[in-house]
Amino acid sequence: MSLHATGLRLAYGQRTIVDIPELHLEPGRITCLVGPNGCGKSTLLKALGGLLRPARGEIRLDARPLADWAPKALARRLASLPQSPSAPDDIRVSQLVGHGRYPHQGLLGGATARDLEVVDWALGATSIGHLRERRFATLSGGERQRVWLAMTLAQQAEILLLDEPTTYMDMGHQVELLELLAELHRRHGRTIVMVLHDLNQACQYADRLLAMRDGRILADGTPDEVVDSALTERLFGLPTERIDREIGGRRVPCCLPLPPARPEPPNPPAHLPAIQRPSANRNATRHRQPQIRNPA
Amino acid sequence: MSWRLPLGWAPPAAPSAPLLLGLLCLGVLTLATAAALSLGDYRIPLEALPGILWHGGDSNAAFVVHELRLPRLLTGLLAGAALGMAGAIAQSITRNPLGEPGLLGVTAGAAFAMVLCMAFARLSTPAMLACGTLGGLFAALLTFAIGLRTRLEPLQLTLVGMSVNLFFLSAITLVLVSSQTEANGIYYWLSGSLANRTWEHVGMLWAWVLGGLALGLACARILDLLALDETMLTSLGLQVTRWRLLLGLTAVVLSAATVAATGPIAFVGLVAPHLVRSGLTLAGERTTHRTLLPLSALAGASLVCGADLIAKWQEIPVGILCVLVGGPLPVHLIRRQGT
Repeated sequence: MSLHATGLRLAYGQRTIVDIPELHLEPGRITCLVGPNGCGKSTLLKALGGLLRPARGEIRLDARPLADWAPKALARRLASLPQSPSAPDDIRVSQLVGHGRYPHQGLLGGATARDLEVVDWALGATSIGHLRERRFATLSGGERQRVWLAMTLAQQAEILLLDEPTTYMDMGHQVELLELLAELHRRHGRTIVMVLHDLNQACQYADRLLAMRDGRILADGTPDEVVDSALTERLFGLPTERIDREIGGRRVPCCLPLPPARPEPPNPPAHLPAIQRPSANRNATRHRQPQIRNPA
Repeated sequence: MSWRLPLGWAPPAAPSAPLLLGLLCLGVLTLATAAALSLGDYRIPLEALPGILWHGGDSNAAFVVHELRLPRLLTGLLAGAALGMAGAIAQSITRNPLGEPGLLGVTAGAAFAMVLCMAFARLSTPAMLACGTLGGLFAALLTFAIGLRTRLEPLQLTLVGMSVNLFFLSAITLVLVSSQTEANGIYYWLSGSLANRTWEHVGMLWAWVLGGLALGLACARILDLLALDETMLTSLGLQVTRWRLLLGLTAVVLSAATVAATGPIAFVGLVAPHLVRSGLTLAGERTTHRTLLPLSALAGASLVCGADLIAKWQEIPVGILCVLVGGPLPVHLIRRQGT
C-alpha cells in the first residue's frame, strides 16, 4: 500500500520537467509538495496519479507499475484532484459528486443505496449538504472546490492526490478543508499527497515536506527538520524568519518573510561636485525682478 | 455492502417531467400513426384500421395499408428515432450544441454512396441500401481514424468530421455535375423523403436502429460523465478515448442505414434533443442522458412522422418539412428562455 517511484523522469515532449532518482511515499501520512511556480510539483503529482506516463523510470503501487493496473481498480485505490477542473453548467452538485462513484459501479447498474450513502457522507464531510440540488454554475469558487473534493472523497480511495485543493478559498474555508483532510488522515488512515502554495499551511498539516525546485527535490523531511530561512531563500529567493509554534504537541515552524536586504544607494563619487540645487528663493526673486530698463 | 435503504431515505420524486414529455410524444405518434394509415387518396375509416391491421385480407384497403402506408410509416418511425438519439449522442461527444450525426461525416458519406449508385449503377434496392450504409460507415470510420491521433478530443473530432463531411458533399456535387443521368430524382432523394418506401427499407433498417438504440441506452450514463475534463475522467478510471469511440460508433450505426433509407433528414438529429432539453429545463428537471436519449428518440420519431403527414399531403420531401416545422421551434424556445 505505498507509492514508489524509481529513476523517474517526467517530460512534456523533449522538455524534462521532473527528474527524481527515488521517491517513496509511505502509507497513512500527509505529504506536502512545496516549491516555486513551475518547479514541477503538479507534474509529479499527475504522474503519481497515473495521469502522466513517465518518460523514463516507473511508479509502482503495491509493487505493481501504475500502467499495469486496470483503470477502475486503480481509481478505487488512488484518487486525483487536478487543478481547477471544469464541469458542464447545468449539472447538479449531487450528480457531480455521484460521478465519483464511477469506479465502484458496473456498466449497467445505476446508483445503489450504498452509492447514495457515500455521496451523502462526502457532501456532509465537505459541509456542502445544503448545496446538493444547486446547479454547479451558480456556485462560488470556494464552493466549487469543495464539490470537487467531495467527488474525490466519494471515490473512497485510500490515497488522495490533491493539486492545490485550497485554491479560490478564503482563509476560513482553507483551514476548514485542511482540517477535514487531517481528520480523514487521522480517522480513516488516508494517505494524502498534496501541492500547497502556502508554506506555513504545509508546515502545519504535513508529516513530511518535499521541497522542489527545477524538477528536483531539494529537501525532504518533517517541516521541523527542513524549514528555515536558507530553504525559503533557495526555493523562493526570499529570506524569512522562522518562528516555532506548538500545535497539538508538535513543533511547527512558521516562516515570516523578511524585507529583502536592500543595498544602500551608492554615495556619489568624491571628485564630482555636489549637485547644487537652485534655491526656490533665489529662483523666485530672479523671476520677480522687475525688468528695469535704463532710460537712455 | 448493504442493499438495505437507510432509514429516512425516500425514493426520488416521480420523474414527472420526463414522463409527461414521453407521453406527449407517444400521443403525437399515435395520432400521426392513425392519420398516416387512414388519410390519403384512398380514405380508410379509422374504425376499420384495427381489423385491417390484425387480419389483413385481400381488399384494396388491406393492400394500401400493408404494402404502401405501413412501410412508409415504419421507415419514418425508425429513421426519426435513430436520428433523434444519434443527434443527442453526437452533441454530447463533440460537446457541440449544434452537433448532429452529419458532424461525424456519416450523412454525407452515406449520401455520396447512394448518389454514386443512382448515377452509375443499376442495383436492386437492398444492394443500394447496403452500399449507402457502407458508405456512411466508411466516412465515419475515416473521421474516427484521423481523430484518434488526438484521442477523439471533442474540438478536433468536430473539425475532422466537418472536413470529411464537406469532402463527401463536394464529391456528391461532382457526381451530379459530371453524370449523364437525370439529376432531378437524385436531388429529390437528397432532400430526404419517405415516399415509396417498402418493406425492403424497413427490413434493412430495423436491425441497425434497434441495435443502435439499445447500445445507446446501455451507455447513456457514460455520456453524462464525458462532459467532465479528460484528466478528471482518467483519474476516475474511465477510458475516455475508448468510450468516445464506442459512443461515436453507436451514433454512426444509428444514422448510416437511416440516411441510406430515407436520404439526409439530418435536421431531426439537431432539433429533437434540443426540444427535449428545453422541455426538461423548463420543467426544472435535471437533464441526464438516461432520460435525454430515449426522449430524443421519441421526439425524433414524432417529428418525422408528423412532418411526413404534411409531406404526403403536399408531396414535398419530408426532409425539407422537418426543417420548416422543426426550425422555428428552437427559436421559439430560446426566446422564451431568454425572457
